[in-house]
Amino acid sequence: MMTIAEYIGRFHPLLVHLPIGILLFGFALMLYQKVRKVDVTEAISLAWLAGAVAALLSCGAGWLLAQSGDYEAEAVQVHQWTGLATAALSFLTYAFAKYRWLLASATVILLTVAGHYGGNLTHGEGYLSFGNRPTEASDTTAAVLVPEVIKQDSLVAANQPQVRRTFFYRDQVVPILEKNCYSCHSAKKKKGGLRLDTEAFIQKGGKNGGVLVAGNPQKSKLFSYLLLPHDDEMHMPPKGKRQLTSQEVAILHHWIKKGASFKEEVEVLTPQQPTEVEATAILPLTFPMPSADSAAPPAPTSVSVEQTILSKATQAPDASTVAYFQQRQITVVPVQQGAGYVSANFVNVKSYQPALLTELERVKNQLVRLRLTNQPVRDEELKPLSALTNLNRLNLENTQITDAALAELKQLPKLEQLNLYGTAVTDEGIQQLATYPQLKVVYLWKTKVTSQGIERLKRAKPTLKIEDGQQRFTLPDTNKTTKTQS
Amino acid sequence: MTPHHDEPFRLHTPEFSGLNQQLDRRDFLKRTASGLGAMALGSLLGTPSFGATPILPKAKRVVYLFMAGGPSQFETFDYKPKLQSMLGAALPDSVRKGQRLTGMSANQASLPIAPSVYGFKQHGTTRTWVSELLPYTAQVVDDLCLIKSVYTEQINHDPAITFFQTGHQLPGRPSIGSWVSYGLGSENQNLPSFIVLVSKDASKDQPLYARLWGNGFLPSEYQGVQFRSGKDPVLFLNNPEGYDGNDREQMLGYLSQLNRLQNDTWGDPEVNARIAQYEMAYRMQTSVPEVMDTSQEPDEVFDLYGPGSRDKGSYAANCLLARKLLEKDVRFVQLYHQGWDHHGSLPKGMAKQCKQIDQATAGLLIDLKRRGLLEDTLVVWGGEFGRTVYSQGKLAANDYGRDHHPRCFTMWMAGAGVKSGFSYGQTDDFSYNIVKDPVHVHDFQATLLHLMGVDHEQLTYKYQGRRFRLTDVHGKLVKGILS
Repeated sequence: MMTIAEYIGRFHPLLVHLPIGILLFGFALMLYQKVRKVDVTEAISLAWLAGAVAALLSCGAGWLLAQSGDYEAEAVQVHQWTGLATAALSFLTYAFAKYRWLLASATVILLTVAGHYGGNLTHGEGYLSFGNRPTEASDTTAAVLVPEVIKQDSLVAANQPQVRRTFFYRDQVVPILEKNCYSCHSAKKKKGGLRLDTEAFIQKGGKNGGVLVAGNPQKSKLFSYLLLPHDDEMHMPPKGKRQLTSQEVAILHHWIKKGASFKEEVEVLTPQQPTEVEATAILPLTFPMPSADSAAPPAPTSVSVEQTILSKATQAPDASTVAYFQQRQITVVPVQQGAGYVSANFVNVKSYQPALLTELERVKNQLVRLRLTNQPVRDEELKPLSALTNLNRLNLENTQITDAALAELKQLPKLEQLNLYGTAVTDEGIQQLATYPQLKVVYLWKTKVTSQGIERLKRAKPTLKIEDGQQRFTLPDTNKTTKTQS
Repeated sequence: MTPHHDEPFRLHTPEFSGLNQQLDRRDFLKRTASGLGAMALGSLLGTPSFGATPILPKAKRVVYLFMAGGPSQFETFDYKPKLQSMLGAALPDSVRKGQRLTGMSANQASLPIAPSVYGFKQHGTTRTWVSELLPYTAQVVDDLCLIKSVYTEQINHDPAITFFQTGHQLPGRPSIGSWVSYGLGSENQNLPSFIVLVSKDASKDQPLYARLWGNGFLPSEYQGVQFRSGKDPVLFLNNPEGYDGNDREQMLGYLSQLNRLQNDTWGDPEVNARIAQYEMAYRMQTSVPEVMDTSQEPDEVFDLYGPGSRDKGSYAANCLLARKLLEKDVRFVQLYHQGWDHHGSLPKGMAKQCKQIDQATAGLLIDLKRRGLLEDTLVVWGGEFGRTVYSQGKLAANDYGRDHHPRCFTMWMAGAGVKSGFSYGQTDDFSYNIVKDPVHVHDFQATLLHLMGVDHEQLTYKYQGRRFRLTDVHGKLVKGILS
């Protein structure tokens, strides 16, 4: 419970503005008298008296506030004595009109000093220093913090790809606390008896008990107070202060939920199961930063080639590469949110140039799907595709390719699906598909292929799913349906 | 107390949310740096997703065949042979359990059981029961994933259809297509990512309204664009008479400059939407006539979709058009077919309705399959609720009606990411209650988003102080139907 004394103490930051204003006004009147040569001595005296009384009242309220223990004693000391000196000097200025100029000047100087220290107490040190203040750009958005996490990863990963070191508390939690909480809860000022600047203090909690229950964010005030409605008295940070971004709230939630560890974690990675940190890392960017996790899992039989490709992290194409293709109407998008692998779609391309296929070199490791549907692509132009070692699905329907192209595409080690409908491939040509290492599905509708050719291919590669587009409806017995309606 | 101006000046009203976004440099960089403005996955990036693993999208496109009015499950897919011997018997209270009925049949003296007058047969290698009203669909049943245990909370058309399309029974939320379009953008720059087709041949017993494909509180470029049959597929898209393309281009260029000025001053997100829409409309002046032109299609294609497919604006023609749009990588095609609200004369009405959609629907599946589109396109078929086992009004041997029934009904999905030749969920012998694997509307929506690679809990939009989702605060992924 708050005592009456404490309550009055809280008026200190309000009351101090009275003496500041009145005393400065008294000084201003003195200057006015001097310059304009008018007699306002009475007014000057009144101003100094009123200012002195107000200063005394502020000192009283300030003393009560200091008793609450929320403030660091040392910082309060300076403010307290300069404040009292200001009050005393202002009385002297009132009383000794003869030395008024000297005393008044000294009062104003002391007033400034006392005010500055008071300001530091309220707003935190460095509030007035120039250029040091955290700016918007250095916000702990994931866009900024992600590379840091990754950097550590790749350092370690260069030699031992299966070990990941993360220091979540130091790298992610501390910056948030520093930016949002330290101004009231650290060495200088410990509101509610709470400090958040070291592990021991966080564990200890404040006057009203602990703030952290490891593993349970809901029970940790460190987290739950952030979610209170903004007008709730207990909401943190208090009204008017910078509020945490949802990303920051999420980071705290995650940290507490995972046990609120204050230590560096070393974990052995099992590939294919992205760790939590990895998941956060790929979130904020459409393309993730590189991660040098190169340990490939042994591919179980049920896992498709595509999943195997995607389970190996790759460096996403940079923004300029994506923009380069965008300018040429080629849509390059990640195949999966946050994946480095991409698909390229030529659906918007109005004037196809063979050179565009050569340009795919820029994403040769990342490209898993390529859609060249309805473009006038010719056999010899497909040569550059053999560099696309991860190409998994290739759409060549309604292009001008022939059997010759099928010899070219044999090079692709990971091709699983090939769409050839509407092309001039023949029975002879498609027999080469039997030698494709991973091919699982092929579309052959509207080609020169006959059922004999398909039979031959099926015998050579029984696992291949062949869609020949020959499914036809059998006409239904219409008499039967109408019968019951009569 | 001294004021703390730590935070940049913000006005926390929805009208200014765009301005706030604009002021937010981080946000701005995030949206533009990758050069994939449209492919923003906008809100996915903004919201924290700890512990969420990215989902591999199976479906790149969706075509949603909406059977407005509530098609009966008894005459289509939910085969209930035991009812045959119960013609006219009263619906047991042990089945009904006092559940609410609509005002149309609540005061009926009795609730006599009406078995389907139409026979069922097993089809395909999976030996799935399909009604004789759907002879063509029966031939592709091995490609379908039937969900016989869908249920909704709404018992009347407007709230039920709004619930299905927007995740909430009251109007005002964005529709599924808008959410998808907002979340995933489009790979085709020349066509809208969300296109709506309404069949003209269906009886318009229950109305459709543009808000069903509205963008709600999302920026308006994500609303569905209706393509009509006839001379003007998209209203007001063509140049006015006597106005040539160059003039138009100049005018639009100048207008865009003015809009940008306005945008710089006010930062209203709707100005951005307007600019985007003008630019899209200009590109659509060439892309739309091209995609709407079916004259180059061979006869064999029209034969596949059935006789109606030559009649522009019919359900069959719209199915053909939907295929053309999907071929162009349009993200979401929403196709409506009305007239399934059979309170009376159901046998006659169902026969007519099924005939209108049966061949074209099956034809669409075959056409998508042979073109290789079915592997990354999701096809959805279904209405807003099912119908009752008892007859509304007089029950005769060959004539009866059925009232609205939200507790169970059948939908199907086909194509990307779902099991084929599969039935999920089960209803009781009266198809009145679900006995196994219930699928709520929100579950269906969550699953649809999942198939497109989106976690339904992550795709949010902040509006009026709250982050909204398609599935509100509900929805579970239906894992059982994923392939």
